[in-house]
Order: sequence, then C-alpha cells, then structure tokens
Amino acid sequence: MWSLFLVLLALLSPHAQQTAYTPLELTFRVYEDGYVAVDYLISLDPTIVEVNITLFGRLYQDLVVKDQEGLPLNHSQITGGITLESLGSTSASITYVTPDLTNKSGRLWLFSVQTPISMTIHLPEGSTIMGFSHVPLALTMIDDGPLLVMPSGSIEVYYTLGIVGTREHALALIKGAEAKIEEAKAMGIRVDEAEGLLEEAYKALEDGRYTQAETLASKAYEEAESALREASGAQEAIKVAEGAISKAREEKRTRGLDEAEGLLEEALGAYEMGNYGEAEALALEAEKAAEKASVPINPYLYFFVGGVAVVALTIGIVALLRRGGRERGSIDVDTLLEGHPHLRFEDREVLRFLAESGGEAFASEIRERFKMPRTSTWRLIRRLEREGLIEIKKVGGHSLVRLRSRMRYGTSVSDNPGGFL
Amino acid sequence: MPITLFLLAMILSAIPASSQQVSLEIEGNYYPPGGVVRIYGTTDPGANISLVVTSSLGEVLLNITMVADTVGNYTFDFTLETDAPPGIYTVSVSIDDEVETETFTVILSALETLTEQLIEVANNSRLQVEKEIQRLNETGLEILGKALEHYEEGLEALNESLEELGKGEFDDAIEEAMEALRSFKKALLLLSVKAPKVRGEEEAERIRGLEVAIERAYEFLERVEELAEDLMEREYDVSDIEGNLTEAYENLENATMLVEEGEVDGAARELGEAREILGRTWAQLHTLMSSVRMNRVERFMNHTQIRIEALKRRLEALRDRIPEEDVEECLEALQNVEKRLRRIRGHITFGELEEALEELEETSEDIEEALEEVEGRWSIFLSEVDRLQAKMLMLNHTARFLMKKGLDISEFEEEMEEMEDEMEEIMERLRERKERIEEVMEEVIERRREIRKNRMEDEEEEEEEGD
Repeated sequence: MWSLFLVLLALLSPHAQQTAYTPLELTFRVYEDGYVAVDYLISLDPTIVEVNITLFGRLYQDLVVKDQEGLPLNHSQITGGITLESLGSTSASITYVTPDLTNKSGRLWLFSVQTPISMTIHLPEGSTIMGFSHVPLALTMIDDGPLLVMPSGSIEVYYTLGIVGTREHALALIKGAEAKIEEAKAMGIRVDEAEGLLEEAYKALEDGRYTQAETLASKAYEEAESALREASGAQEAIKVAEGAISKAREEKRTRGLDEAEGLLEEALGAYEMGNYGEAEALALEAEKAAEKASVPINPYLYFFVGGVAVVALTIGIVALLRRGGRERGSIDVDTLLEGHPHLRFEDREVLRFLAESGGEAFASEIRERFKMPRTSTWRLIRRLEREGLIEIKKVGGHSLVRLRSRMRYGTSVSDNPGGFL
Repeated sequence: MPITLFLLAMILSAIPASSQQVSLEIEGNYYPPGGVVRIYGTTDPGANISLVVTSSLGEVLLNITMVADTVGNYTFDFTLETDAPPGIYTVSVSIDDEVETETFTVILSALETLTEQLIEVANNSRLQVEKEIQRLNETGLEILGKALEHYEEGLEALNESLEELGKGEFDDAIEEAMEALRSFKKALLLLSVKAPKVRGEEEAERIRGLEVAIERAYEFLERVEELAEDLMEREYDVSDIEGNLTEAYENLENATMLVEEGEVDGAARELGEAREILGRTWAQLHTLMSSVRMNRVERFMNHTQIRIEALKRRLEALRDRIPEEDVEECLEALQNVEKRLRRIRGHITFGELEEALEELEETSEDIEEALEEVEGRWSIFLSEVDRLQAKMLMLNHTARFLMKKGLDISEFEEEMEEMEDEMEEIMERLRERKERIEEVMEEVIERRREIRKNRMEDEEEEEEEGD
C-alpha cells in the first residue's frame, strides 16, 4: 500500500504531464501500386488548443482530419506529422494516403512501419505473403486480400503481387494484340485468323477466364505478327519480280516474259487473298522466269528477208531476160565508140560492159564490176546519159542502166548516123 | 510514468544486500485473452522477487513481490482479462539491480487456428518460389544456387512445421513456419532479380496502377462528400460543392469505363480532371471550415470558462485543508486566466481568429499550469489521500474481522498505526508548507528503507536465536 501511495505522489511531480493524444485504432490498406491508405483514430485531451501528432510516412495525400462529430479539424503539416488544432475535441479521425510505407525489390514488396499500438494491415487482392517480422496476432484470408493484425513496434511484412492470370494482364495482352492487328490492317494485310482469336480473347475476358484470355490474346498477337512478316516478305518478292519483268522489257527480252507476268499476276492474286506465303513463292518464280526471258527474232526481219528474196528473184529474172536479150541481138560497141571519140576510157569500158551484159546492168553491178565509188559511178552514168548513149530506169528501187534501144536490138550504130538517139 | 512507477517499485522492494541472480521463463509464447500465463524461474532460496507484467499498451497489470521457495523456485500463474488487448506483453522479474525480462503475445485467434493459417501462408509462399523457378527454367536463364539452397531450407522448415502441428506443438510449429517463410523470401528475392518481365507486364502494371488511383480518388471523393453532408446538416452552404462532386463522379465513372477497356491514356485524362475538381472542391471546403473553426474556438472558450468556475468552487471547498496562501495564489492565477479569456473573446468578436488562436495558444500553457496547480497538484493529492484513508479504514475493519476469527493481527496493527502516524505527519507538514512535496516523498522513502532494514535485522536475529 505504501508503494502505491508513493507512486501516486510521483504523479504530482511538476514534470508529469498527461500525453496530449492517445492512439486508439490504426488501419493500413495497401494498394497494388504501393500506396497505403492510413486510417488513424486518436483520443485527444479536450483541454488543449493544439497538439502535434506523429503520422506514418512523410507524404500525406488526401489528408482529412475530423473530430468526434465528423467536423473537419484544422491542421498544418510538420516534419513527421501534423499540428492539429484540437480546441476541445475529444477524438480525431485522421485519414490519408502515402507512398512511403512500401518498397519494391524485384518481385518482392515490403511494407514497413513503426507504430505505438497494434494495427490492422489489409494487403492487396491477389497478394501472397512472403514473410513478417513478427507473428501476427490474427490472420484472415479474405476475398479482397489478406488481413493481418500485427503488434505494435517496428513491423515489416513482405508480399508479392501476381501479374499472370489477372484481369489487367489479360487486358494488356489483348490491347497489344489489337494494336498489332491494326498495324497490319493499316498496311492492307489480311489478319482474319488473328481477329478471330482476338474476339475469343475478349469473350474470355468478359467471362472472367483471364488465363484463357491471356493465351488467346498471345496467339492473336503472334498470328498478326506472323502475317505482317509473311506479307512483308511477299511484298518484297513481288517488288523484285516486278523489277525483273520491267528490266526484261527494257532489254527487249520479251520471249518467255508472258510466263513471268502470268506468275506475277497469280502472286498478286494470292496476296489479295491473304495467302502471303504462296504469293511470295509465286513472285520468286516470276522473278526467275523474267530473268530467263530472251530477245525474240524481229518479225520485220522476215519481211526484210522476204523482200530481199523477191528482189533477188526479180534480179534473177531480169538477168535471165537480159541474157535472152543479149542473145537476140548483139551490140557493135566499137562502131558505137567510133562515133564518140571523145569518151573517156572508163566510159568506153562501161559501154562495152553494158553491151556484153545484154545492153543493160544495174548501177550497183557497174559499181561492183569496176570497183568504183558510188559517186563516181553516178557521174559516169550521167555523162553517158547526156551523151544519149544510155537511159536509166528504176526497177525494184534499183537503177537499171540500159543502152539506148536502137543500139540494143540489131541496129548498128552505123544504121544510126548521128550517134545515138 | 510507467518508468517512474517501475523505479519506485524497485526502490521500495530493495533489500540492502549483495546482488542476487534470477532466471525467468514463460510457458508458451502465445495466449488468447483470458488465458493463463505461467511465469516461473529460479533464484536464491527465500529471495524476495519483484514481478511486473505490463500490457501491450504499457499498462502495468501486475506488480507484486513474491518469495522464492526453499530451493529457490518461484511460479506465478497470471490470468489475462477476457478483454485483454492483443499484442506483446512484457514480464519482468527483479532482485536488487538484477532484472530479467521476457515477453509473450496475446493473440486474437485460437492458437491452433493461427498455426494452421501460418503454415498455409508458408505453403503459398513456397508455390510462389516454385512458379518463379519454373519461369526461369522456361526462359532458359540460370538459377542461382543460393536461391535453390534457400528454397530447400524453406521446404525443410515447412515440413517440420507440419510435423509439429501434428503433435500439437503449436509454438514450435509457428516458429518453423516463420523460418520457412524467411527462407522462401530469401529465395524469391534472389530469383526475381534475374527474372525478366513477362510480355504485357508493364502495361498490366500501368492499368492496375490506374485502377487503384481511380479507386483512391473515389474514396477521397466520398470523404469529401461526407464532410459536405455534415456541414450541410449544420446549415452551412455547400451548394457549390455538390455540383463539383457530381462532375467529379462523372469523370471517375468515365475513367473506370475506359480503364476497363484498356484505354489507359483516356482513363488517365479523366482521372486528372476528376482530381482537379476535387482539389478545387477541397479548397472551397476549407473556406467553409473557417467558420467551423470559429465556432470551435468559441466552444473551447466556453468549456474553459466552465472548467474555471468548477475549479473555483473546488478551491473554496479545499480552503480548510490546504494553506490559505496557496488557495489565494490559485484563485489569483485563475482570475488572470479569466482576464486573458476575455481578451481572446474580444479578438473573436472582431473576427480576428488568427490573433485569437495565437493568444489562446500562448495562454494554454499558462492555463494548464494554473489548473494543474489547483486541479492536479493539490486536488489529486487530496483525493488520493482520501482514497487511502478509506482503504486504511477498510483494512482496519478486515483486521478486526480476522481477529475475531482468532488470528494474531498484532504485527499488522503495529504497521497500520505507524502508517497513520506518518500520514498525519505528512499532512501537517504539507499544510504548514514546511517543505515541498518532493522533499517529503524522499524522506518517506528513506524512512521506509530504514524500517525494512530494521525488520531484516530483526528476522536474522530471530533465525540465529532459533538455531
């Protein structure tokens, strides 16, 4: 009893003061992104004007302080807490959100706090507890996350948050697949199969089958990506084939080119249908075919050859006729030449040649016979024409040089006084 | 305060002799409310042991002195209250300067249930580690040997825990489960450093982050709405605020729809708009809170005035029992406080709230000191003296009853008389204000030590005579 009495006397020490506030209840709600909502109920000394309250963390977002009647209490932030204007309030309810009580390393989250009283910690839905600093006073696994009651002091709780199999992950994969499909469609690529898978993925998501939605979305993404790759390959091959065909055309290698063009046409058709592998293969064949194409024989050459043959025949016939003519009547060139004593030697020789050739020859024959340049041959022929000794006729585009007729057919020059006609 | 109590208890129980050894054990680590905690240990035979049990809230639940038996053992069964607060409790035993401390935990669940839950938690953590190992195997990345080592250790501890649970050794099972958790945690830490992110993980985290940010915005909005409703009930004009809150709700609804569709950018925009509105709304509420504040200050002033009136009445009632000059001094202090309160009211009347609060803050310490002088110092002292006197009266009645039963109460009577004399002396000296209360207390403590010492010497003499 004496002990108690003296202990009570100690209460009278001028330094003994009641604490200005007493923590009553403390709850932490941990969010998936590491933010923590704090709900702190304290009792207050109603005789004081203001009190410094130690809070948890350094940053206090959405801070609301209310008194026992639900009315807001004025406060200002200080290091490690707030100064609360209590003014007769008997209790205060403090709520705020802070990012300072959690930390992440790899896949492991750590929630740590130092508290003066035991507390309730509500971990995020889908979290798995990986350790505590103290044995919990109570532990409950509820639908929206584990609920722990921990003792006062310096407390740590380790946990992980799953991603795979969650709605968010399924949605993220679906959006990724969707974007890939849009990318392909913007390039005119058909992605029917990918779109089908995506639709199924959306359905699974709505039904809450998240793991299945993830699988379908992943497949849709891969399908779209594959189509993009194949289409790109086919486009490239078609471009190369088109280039090869153009080149062949420029080089006039048109023989066999129609085959290449046909294959290219088929390749384009396959591309339109979305059969990109097939389109690429056909385009490659078209390219090969274009490379094999060769220059065709020119059709005009046939005409030319035909024409030359006709001319040759004509000349042959004419030559035959000339021979015949030569046999009907010979030409007395000497007598002819006596009548034209002023003729040059080469002129006389050409006349003799003409006489020997049945009275006529083509200019080209003369040129050939006497190995004369074209111009010299024509000057000679013109001289003889001026002398009245020859006449020129066009036969098949060629110039036929003919002794004047009175000189050709059985008439002698002597019968033609005056020389030639 | 608890430290003061503890130190005093130690001083009172001090036996001026050489330091003795003491051991302390607690049977079990975890107890439910209402449970019986067995505290035991060994020390010198016949030694006086001080035993203190402190709750998780720092409250002293038990403070006794026990005597060790003839072989030096001691045991005490401490029964927890059925509404004992959960948490870590401290048990301290002391002899002279020697102190031993142990703890036990009051849990909320049944021990077996808690054990099973902890084992389940440890098992889930095992699955997490295995999932991570599998993922690393699939990606062909190397798994650190140390990580696998920790995993194996965790498996071993988990199996041990299950065995102990089967035997009903819940404390041991809990320890093993905690050990398993520690090992699995270490394993996961090492594994996850290497593990690459899965496809879509970053985007999924972004979606998730946005979802919870929207959720928080909703919660804040609801709190603001609640505040607005409270203010409205008190006839404050919150019409502007209502419109804003409706708009913010719409933005948050849009944000929710968009994030469900995976439209993260759109959802973030809507959330940003909602937050802006909430910020504006909060500023508007602050304006309203000024008048709440004003009312609160006035109410506080009124309560303080009422308190002062009550204290004045008490002082008058104590006039016969405490020195006159102390009464006058306290009354004067209270009158000064009243003058300051009138000045503060003046500030409030002119709407000078900040000045009022500043002065109120400055005088609050003065008020506390003056009130403590009246209310704390003398009043508590006298109340406790009254209480102790009532207790002494009760003990006297009990002693008489025991005497009628034939028990020898002479020693007890002697002690009672001594206490009464001492108390009377103290009261006289305090009334005469010969010295301060603290000095009196010291003298009492010294007097008590002398009594103890004398008693010990008497007991030793008796023993020698007995031999």
